[in-house]
Amino acid sequence: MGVNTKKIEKEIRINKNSSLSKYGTVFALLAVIVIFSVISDRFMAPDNLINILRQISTLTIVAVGLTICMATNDFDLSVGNVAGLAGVLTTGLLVTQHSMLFSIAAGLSVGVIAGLINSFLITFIGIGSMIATLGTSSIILGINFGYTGGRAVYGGLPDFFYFFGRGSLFGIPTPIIIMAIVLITAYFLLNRTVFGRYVYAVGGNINAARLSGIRVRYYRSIAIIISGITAALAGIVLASRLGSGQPTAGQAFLMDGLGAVFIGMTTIKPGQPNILGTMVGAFIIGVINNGLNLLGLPFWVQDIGKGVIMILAVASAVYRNQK
Amino acid sequence: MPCLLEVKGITKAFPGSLALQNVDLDLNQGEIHGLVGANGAGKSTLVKIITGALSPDRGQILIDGKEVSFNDPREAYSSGISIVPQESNLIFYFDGIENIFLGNEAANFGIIDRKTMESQAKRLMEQLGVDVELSKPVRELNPAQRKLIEILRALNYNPRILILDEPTAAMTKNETEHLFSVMDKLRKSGSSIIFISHYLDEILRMCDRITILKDGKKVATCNKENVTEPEIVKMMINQDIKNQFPKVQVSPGKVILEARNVATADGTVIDASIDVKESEIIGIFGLVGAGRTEFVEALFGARRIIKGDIILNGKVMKNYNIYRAIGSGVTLIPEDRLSNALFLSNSVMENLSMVYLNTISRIGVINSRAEVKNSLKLIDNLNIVPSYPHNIVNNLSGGNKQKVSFGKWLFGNRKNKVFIFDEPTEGVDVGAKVEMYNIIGKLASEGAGIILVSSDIEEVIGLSDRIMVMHEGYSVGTINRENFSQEKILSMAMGTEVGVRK
Repeated sequence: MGVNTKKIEKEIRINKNSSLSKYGTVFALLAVIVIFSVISDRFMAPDNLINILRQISTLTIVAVGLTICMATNDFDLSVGNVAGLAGVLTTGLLVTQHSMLFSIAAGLSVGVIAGLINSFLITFIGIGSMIATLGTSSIILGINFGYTGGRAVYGGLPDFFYFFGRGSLFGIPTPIIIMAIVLITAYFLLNRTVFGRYVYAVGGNINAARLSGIRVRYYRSIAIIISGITAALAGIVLASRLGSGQPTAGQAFLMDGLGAVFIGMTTIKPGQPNILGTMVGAFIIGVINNGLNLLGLPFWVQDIGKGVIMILAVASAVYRNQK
Repeated sequence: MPCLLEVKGITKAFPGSLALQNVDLDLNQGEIHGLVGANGAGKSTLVKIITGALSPDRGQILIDGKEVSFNDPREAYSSGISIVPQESNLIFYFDGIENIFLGNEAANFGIIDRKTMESQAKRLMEQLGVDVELSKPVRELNPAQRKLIEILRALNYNPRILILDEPTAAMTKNETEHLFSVMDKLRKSGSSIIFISHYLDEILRMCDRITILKDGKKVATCNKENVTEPEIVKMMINQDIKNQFPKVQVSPGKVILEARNVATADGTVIDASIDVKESEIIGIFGLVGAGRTEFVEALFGARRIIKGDIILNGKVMKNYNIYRAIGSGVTLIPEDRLSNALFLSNSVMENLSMVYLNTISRIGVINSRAEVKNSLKLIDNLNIVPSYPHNIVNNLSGGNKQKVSFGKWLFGNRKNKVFIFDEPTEGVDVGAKVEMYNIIGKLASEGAGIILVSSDIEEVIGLSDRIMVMHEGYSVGTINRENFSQEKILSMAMGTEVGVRK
């Protein structure tokens, strides 16, 4: 009996360790890093690593907001165009001699307003989040083109504006600092606060949440608004890095942002959108972009390579989880 | 004696718990074999292993003496094993026919042959002696009808071994009788059945042999002639249950919650009234479709009312809603706990703290130490097994899930005033039932008013001080304990007798 029980306890422990497979995607990220550092000697250079972080900073900021929104089980497909409009509006106001504070506040308010409209359509009218945000996304893009005429906004931007995208603080590039602040804040919100718990509760079982007295509409709305704000913030930082307001600059955010969240859902807390997972997802995307770029491959090979590596990375993590 | 199915030395561990330990089971040709045990004893895990939904860590399964191993339920189906699982796995947007033939469609060159399927389903229904609407999406059917569809689906595979996991929980007496006659027919034709039920009278009536599981181990396999109900209960929970319905006698206080002539917007409740006093247990009885669940949802503010008043502590509630209900100490433990009460992928602790999270938070930040401490206390008080607070709720058994779905209203020693239990013991075993009854009694003795909705008439009679009977959206009367009789309550519920109206 005694021996038997011990054996069984051991089995339980092994079973527990199999939850190691939830770090599969993290191992995949490490594997991609190792492969690139073998193929390209420039990859592991400190400059390049900082460069990767800088490149993914805006994507990560968008993806963090999307993570919170998707934790309530709502999609926000307007993030790309929100970022685009925030970028051109902020630069446009700066170019026309408005104050820094006002211009940035106006850029961020694009996110707030988009979030308010999205949440109204989703939680009060009751439209599905995909359709609602697809619609607002198109409207926002139209406004963007109406405002810019489809041309980039540049010239005469105050020097200080470049600080957000190109500057640095204590030797650390500003966008990386902003990304870190957003990551830490969101991680804290989702994992340590009542807000975060209720966001996951609404996403997990909306009926049970309602019958537990959780204000479902409120938490969904706030999550959608946060997604708008982070998208706008990313748009402003990106405009600062590019040194101009590019009307279509934010459009890659949507697919890459969703990609980061979905990749993230395979790890740390499998099945649930989560901040650390999203971070891993954004890193995978950033590392792949950077690595393939360093290899000097034609752009279309890079696109194919990126798709293949993303699928392989997630497949290796998910495959073992079955059964 | 040919042994159709033999299960040998099955062991299965889940993270943090050992679900099965060295379990044997054998099934003869033409036998109905009962499988009983408390919640969490491992019954569902065992049948999941037999059907290939789970793979065992150790042990073997033999059919006709040959070892088999199924990688998924499909392989089990083709070997003649069908299961009607405890928890529904119907596709709610598909209709009855589409669900019955799911994965087994009649088709010519890939084109679905609906006619053949319909006539085949009709034949099956005639054999069963049941009649279910097969062209409606199953989400529009009630739980009993859905269960019948699942049984039809399982039988459609012409199984040699049919596994029925709690099939009767949502059934009326008539439907249960139909099912039993089908089981008899199947037995006569040489099929074998593994029958899981919490109703031991059903088990003793239908089964040839009975295997009792306890804490993942087999206690015994008995012939039905050699065993009695109390003996089985004793083997299941290792203690005698003296009083099946422990009734605490407390004299009721003043009225806390009252509803007058309430009608709901969807027309399921037309004119229903009730009042609940402190320390009182009032039962609500009614047949399927009487509007009981809808009525108590209205009492909890979860369903809009278009007529009538809800009065809390003597005050008529304006714009009554869930938040006001909870704020005034009214709680609802819903019938369908999986879709309406539990956060299945969250931990036990996160489920327990869900409602009153603010009481252990400061400026919105959760005090995790207080959360763990309070959860452990509740887990201990309610005897939730396994007792690990970080366990994911989906891994718990039915009875323990029920304790969690109820426990959230007691978090942090919260004293609520009204507890509305909607079918609290559905799918819950004998031992856990008595635990539930004791909890309900304790709440009442501490001054809470209890509303108990149940389809189990013995349960309502056993526990209630008064019973309110509903019929087709109306409250047809209230009976005091001294006048309780099954016949009277049933005839009121069927609308053949109007009781004393308040």
